Amino acid sequence: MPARVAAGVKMSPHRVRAPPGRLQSLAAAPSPRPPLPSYHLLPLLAPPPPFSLPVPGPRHTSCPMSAAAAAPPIASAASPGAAPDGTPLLPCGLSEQQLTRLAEADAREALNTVLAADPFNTRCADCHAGVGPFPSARSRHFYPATISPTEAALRRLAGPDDHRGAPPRWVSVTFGTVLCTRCAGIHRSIGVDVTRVRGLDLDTWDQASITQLARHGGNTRVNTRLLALAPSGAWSLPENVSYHAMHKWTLLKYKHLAFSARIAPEPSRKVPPPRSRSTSSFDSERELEYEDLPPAACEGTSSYFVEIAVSDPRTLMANEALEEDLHTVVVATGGGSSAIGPSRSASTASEASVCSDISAVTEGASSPEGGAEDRRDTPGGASSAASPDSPPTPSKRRLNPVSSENFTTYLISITTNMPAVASLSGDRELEAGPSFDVHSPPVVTMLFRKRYSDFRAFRRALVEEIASGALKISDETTTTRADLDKLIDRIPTLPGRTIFAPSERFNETVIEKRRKAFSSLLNHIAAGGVAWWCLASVRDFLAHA
Amino acid sequence: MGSGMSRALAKMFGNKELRILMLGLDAAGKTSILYKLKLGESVQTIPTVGFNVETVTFKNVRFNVWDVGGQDKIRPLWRHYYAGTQGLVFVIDSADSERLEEARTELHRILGDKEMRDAVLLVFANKQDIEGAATPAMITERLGLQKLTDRQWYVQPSCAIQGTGLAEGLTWLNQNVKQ
Repeated sequence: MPARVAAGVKMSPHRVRAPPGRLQSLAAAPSPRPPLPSYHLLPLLAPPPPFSLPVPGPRHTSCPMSAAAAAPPIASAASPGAAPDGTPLLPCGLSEQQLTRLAEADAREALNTVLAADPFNTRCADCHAGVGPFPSARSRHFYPATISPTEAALRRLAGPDDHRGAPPRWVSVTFGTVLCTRCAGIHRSIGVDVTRVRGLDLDTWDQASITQLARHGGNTRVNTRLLALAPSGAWSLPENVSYHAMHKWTLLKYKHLAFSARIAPEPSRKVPPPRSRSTSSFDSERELEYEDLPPAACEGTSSYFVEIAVSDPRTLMANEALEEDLHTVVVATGGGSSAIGPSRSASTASEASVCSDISAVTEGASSPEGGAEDRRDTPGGASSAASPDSPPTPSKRRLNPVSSENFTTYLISITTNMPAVASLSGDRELEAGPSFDVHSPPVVTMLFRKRYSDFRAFRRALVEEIASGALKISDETTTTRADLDKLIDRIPTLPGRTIFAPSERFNETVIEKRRKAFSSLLNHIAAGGVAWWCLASVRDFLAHA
Repeated sequence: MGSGMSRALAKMFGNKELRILMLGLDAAGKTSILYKLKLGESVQTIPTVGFNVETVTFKNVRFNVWDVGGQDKIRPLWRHYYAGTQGLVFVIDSADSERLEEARTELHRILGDKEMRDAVLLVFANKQDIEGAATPAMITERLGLQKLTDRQWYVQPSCAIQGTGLAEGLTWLNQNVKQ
């Protein structure tokens, strides 16, 4: 499959830092496939690259990326702070003082030096335009053929049709990714609370921001982090992705951090807090310390972390179908397909087989995946493939087999090295006993789906259990009723049910509110440390994932 | 008789043409506003390098709107567009409170130019749809507009994507620009 080759070129394992000891905790890869890069944690969620578009050869043979892939590993791009003789070096090979001096003398030169450290910076971090043709699909999609001055201006607005040879000249200073003009426009439309864009040529750069870009930025490094859980095709999006598809992709990647995972946790790290948004620094690397961690969280010789992300795929995909290529990506990431059935784009036999692959995969995950259940109702997956042009039918919705009600499931991802949690992930090696090195327990990612009622029941059980005194605050002091009440009070509450307006629960604001509440509930437990994860209600909740 | 009357009225009122200059920090929404006014639909934009100019007809008044890119390094070019400007539209990203100070500096620099002394000032407090956006009152204060005694100004909350507030802004301009 040509797309596979393309993916391989761009995902050369050199450029990806291998997370030490990270396990592939879910089921095995569905079929023999070329070796995956090591950040590819979730083979379950990575069906063969779904893009059916042929990728022209010259683009990849002539691009600097393939040259970089053949070159020795780029240590500078992936590991900051190499210290040969005491002075720590930035990835660009300069020390901080040198860079500051250079920035004072010539900011542009300093920026170019910083960006030259990572060959991937010659391509846009999102659409990978920069070298090779990048036809703009936008004029075809959005503008009529007749040209008036206004339309000509709009064409200009749509961005250059041909990005050939033009390096990306915009930077999301929030994340540190280098972007092409089109993707910069998309970032600007998302809002500065998520991502702030600055031009390399048209904006002034002070030393502090140049240093920050040198320290944290770079497309390889940031993408490795932001796309850690993304399917393999994510590093080589098809060339003619439309604006809308690209916009959704950008939202998923940057706003919802849908594919983000923490890579290679450092031993000194305590519990990472819930992600906070800030515009002034590189968001996903931000670390805060929990000052008031109970000692349980740090017990043992190593420190544990639990990282939680609750995302709701439905809000992203409810309105309109993504372009078939991108939507398959989204479906493949476990993003669910509440509004978009895989059969929609199944126009050829090979695509249909890709789609049924996905549904099988989701079934294998033993998650309460509505799509999989629908598939069981209809005799075989072939029936949906046989009617490619059928309009969206009720089978596109997530159906509850019992009450025939529609509901939304939320995708929850828990990444942790805490054995108490990791043992629930069903990993054989962990169940066999603590044979692993206690100083560096393996990192496991669990991915599952829950719906609102699950969370309600879970919270009720949790409160009951704590009220019964299951959670020992401390061995010395006796726990009083008031202590327990205080403990229960601090558990984040969930938004109320929508009894009076049942359709409200598909309202985006309701979904977002719930998602936030779930996130804060799980993070509250994460901050509580091992003792909380050992509660029966919590373990029940995770075990039935 | 009637048609002659309406022709006379059209002659009196229909040919009004205003030159409007739209400025503001980068990513404030200037281009989005321009094309929302022109086409009535929201378009996808890329950072403006250079300028866009469109004639928008609204209530029989032709607005000649110039939208100039707002990046740091091209702001010095703004002054080349000042001559003959009757109305300045200054667009603010209300969700970007960090840069309100920068916007204030730029706004007062523009207003200090002698070529702009006759221009009325309309501030679009744009992106009101974003949660946590600054209110028009906050923007009035942060921009130091109360101190502007020798000029007519107005802060209009707006949302370029939905188009709310834009017509009100044009109406205000139409009523307040000195002919």
